[in-house]
Amino acid sequence: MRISDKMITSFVTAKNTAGKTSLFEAIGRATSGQAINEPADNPAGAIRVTEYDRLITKLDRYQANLDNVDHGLRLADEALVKMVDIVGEAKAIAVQMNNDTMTQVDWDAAAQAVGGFFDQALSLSNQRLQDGRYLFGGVDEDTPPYDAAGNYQGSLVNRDVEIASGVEIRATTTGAEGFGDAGQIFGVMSQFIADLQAGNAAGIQNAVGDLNDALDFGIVNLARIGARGQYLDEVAFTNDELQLHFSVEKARFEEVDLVQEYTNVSAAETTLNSIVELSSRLLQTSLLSFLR
Amino acid sequence: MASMNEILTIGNSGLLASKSLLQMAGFNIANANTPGYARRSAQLQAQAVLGMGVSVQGPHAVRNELMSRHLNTTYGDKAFHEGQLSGLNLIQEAFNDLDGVGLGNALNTFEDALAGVAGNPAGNAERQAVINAGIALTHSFAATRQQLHQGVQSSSAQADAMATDVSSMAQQVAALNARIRALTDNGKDIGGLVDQRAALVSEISAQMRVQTVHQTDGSILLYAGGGRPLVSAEGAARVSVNHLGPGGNYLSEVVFTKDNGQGEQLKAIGDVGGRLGGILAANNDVIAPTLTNLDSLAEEFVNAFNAQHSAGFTFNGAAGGNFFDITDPANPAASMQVTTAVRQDPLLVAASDNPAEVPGNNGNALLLEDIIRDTPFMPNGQTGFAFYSDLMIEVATSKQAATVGLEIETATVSQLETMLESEVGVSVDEELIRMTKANQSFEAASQVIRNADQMSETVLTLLG
Repeated sequence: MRISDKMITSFVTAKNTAGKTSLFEAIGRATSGQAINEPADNPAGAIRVTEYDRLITKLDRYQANLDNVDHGLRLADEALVKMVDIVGEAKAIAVQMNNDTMTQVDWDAAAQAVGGFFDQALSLSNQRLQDGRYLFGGVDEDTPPYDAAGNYQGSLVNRDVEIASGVEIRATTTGAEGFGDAGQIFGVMSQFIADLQAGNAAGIQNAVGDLNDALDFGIVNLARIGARGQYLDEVAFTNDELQLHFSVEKARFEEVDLVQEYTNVSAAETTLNSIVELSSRLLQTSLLSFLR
Repeated sequence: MASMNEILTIGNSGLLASKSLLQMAGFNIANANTPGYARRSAQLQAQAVLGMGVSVQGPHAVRNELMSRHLNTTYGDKAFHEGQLSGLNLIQEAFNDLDGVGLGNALNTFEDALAGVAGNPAGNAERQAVINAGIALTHSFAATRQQLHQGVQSSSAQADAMATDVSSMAQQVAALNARIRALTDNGKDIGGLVDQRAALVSEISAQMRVQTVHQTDGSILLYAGGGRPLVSAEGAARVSVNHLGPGGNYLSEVVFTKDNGQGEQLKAIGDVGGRLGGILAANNDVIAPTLTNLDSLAEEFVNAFNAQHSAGFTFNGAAGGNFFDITDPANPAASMQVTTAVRQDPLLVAASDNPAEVPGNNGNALLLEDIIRDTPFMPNGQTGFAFYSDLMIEVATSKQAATVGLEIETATVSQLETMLESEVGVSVDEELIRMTKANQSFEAASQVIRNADQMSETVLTLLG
C-alpha cells in the first residue's frame, strides 16, 4: 500500500480526535454520574426513566393521601375514645340515678353533669382537622356537622381516595359512622337529660340500656377505625417496597457504574497517550530527515 | 554505427527527461497538501530509433474516477447526517424531560396536582396547586413550541445559506467547464483546472447529492434533486429554498431556477441529499411535524380538559366552566393559558361531580386526573401522554439514527479517503527518491555528453 503524506496526517488527526473524544466522553459520564444525559443517548431508557419518575411521584401522592387519611383516622380514633369515655361516664351516672333513693335534687345535679358531657361530645363531633376541615361531616367538610341540639346536618356521603395503584380507601367519616344514625348518641343523651330534669324514673331506667347500646356502638366503630388504620399501614409498607424497587430500576437505566467508568477513563487516557506517542514517531520519520 | 551527433542527442534527451522528472517531483511536493490534487506521474519511453534516446510521456494526473465518485457520494451521505444533527440538536433540549423541566414533567406535575385535589378537594392549597401547575403547563407548551419554531427558523436560515453556496459553486463549475472546453480545443494542459473543478464538485456533493456526467469536450454536467440540471451546457441553475410557512405546515422545498433567461423553476424531487438535504430532512420529517403535532396536542388537550371541567362543579356547587383558554387558534400551544377567572379564584376548580356533595366530592377531580394518561382524546385514538411520548421518542430516535449514521459514514469516508489517497496522494518520501533518481540520471546524461565531447575533441585532434 502506498502511504501518502496526507494519509499520515489524516491518520494522526483522526486517531487523535477519536482518542480525545473517548476520553472526553468517559470523563463526562464519570463526572455527571448519568448514563443518559439526553433522550437520544437511549430513547427507550429515557422513556423508562421518565416513567419511573412518574411512578415515584405517584407513590409520593399515594403517601400524601395515606398520611391525610391516617391523620383523620387518628383524630377520629382519639375523638371516639373520648366519646366512649363520655358515654361510659353518662352510663355510670344513669346506673347511679336509677335508684329509688335518688331525689329530684340528685337528678337535677346529674342532668347538669350529663349536660356537660353532652357539650363535650358535641365539641368532639364538630372537631376539625389541621387544615380546618370538619372531621365527621362526610364530604360536607366546610360546615359544622352537628348543630347545638346535636342534630346531624353533614353529608351522608363519603369520599374515596387512591392510596395505591387501583386501591381506594374511604378518606372521610360521616357523623353516622362516628355517633350513630341521626346523631344516636346525642339523642340518647338529650333524652336522658330530659328524663332527669322531668324526674322520669322509667326514662332514667331506659337510659341505662340506651347508653349501653351507644357505648357498644362507639366501641364497634373504634374497632372499625383501628382496622382501617392497620390496612393503611400494610398498604404503606407495600408502597415503600415499590418506591425502593422503582428507584433501583430507575438508577439502573440512569446512573453509570462509577467503578466501571473510572476504569474506562483510565483506559481512554492510556489509549490517547499511546496515540500521541506513536503518532509523533510516525510524523517524525521522514526520508527528508535522512537526506538532510 | 552511431554518429557523434546521435550520442549528443541521446545525452540531451536524458538531460531533458531528468529535468522533467525533477520538475514533476517538485510540483507534486509543492501540492502535497492541496485539496483535490492528484499526483502527477510521467512515463519514460525509449525512442524507437536508437539515436533519439528517451522521451517523456506526460505528465498525467493519477486519478480514480470511480472511487472519487463513490467518495463524493459518501461525503454527501456524511454531510446529510451532519445536517440532520444540526437541526435536531436545536430541538432535542425541548424534549429533554431528564433534566426535570420538559413538557412531560409539566404534564406529570399537573396530573399530580389534580391527584392532590382528588385527595383533598376542599383544600385551598391543593386547588391553588392545580392552578399553578396549570400555568406552568401552559408555559411549558409555549416554551416547547418556541424552541421548535426557532428550530424551523434556524433550519430555514441554514438551508438558504447553503443553497446560495451551492449556486455560487455551480456557477464556478460552469465557468471552469467553459475554460476547460476552450483549452481542450487548443490542446493545452487542463490538469489544474480539472483538479479545481473536482474539488468544487466534491464540495457541492457535501452540500447536495449530485450526479456527474462527463462530456467528450472535457466539460461535465451536474444533476441534483432527482435529476434536475444544476450545471448544464447552458450554465448553472440557481438553487433556492421555498419555506412554506404555517399554511404549508412549516415544510421547505428546494427549487432550481434554470439559467436560460426565462426563470423556469423546477422543484426538487425527493430528498436532495448532502448537508442541505439533511437540514431539510430534519425540518420536514421531524421539526415541522413535531411543531404541528404539538399544536394539535395543545388544542385537543384543552378541549378535552375544558369539556370535563365544565361537567364538574366548583367548591360552591356552581357549574364548572373552562379551565384553559386558547387566545390564538392558529397557535394553540403558544397561546393556551389558564382562564383569568380560575387564576383569580381557586374555588372555581371543578373537583366535584355532584353539586349536592361539595366541597368534599372528588368525582370530577379523579376524571380530570385521568385525562392526560387514560383518555384517548387525540384524533388518532391516543391519550395525550402517549402522543407526547411518541413526539419525544421521534425526536430522540431521529437524533440517535442521525448520530449512528454519521459515525458509519465518517468511518466509510475515512476508509475511502485512505484508499483514494493511497492511489492519488503525494508521498514526499517517494518524490524525494524520484528527485534523487532524476538527479543521478541527470548527472549520468551529462556524463554521456561530456564523454561524447571528449571523443569529438580526440577525433578533431587526430585530424588536426
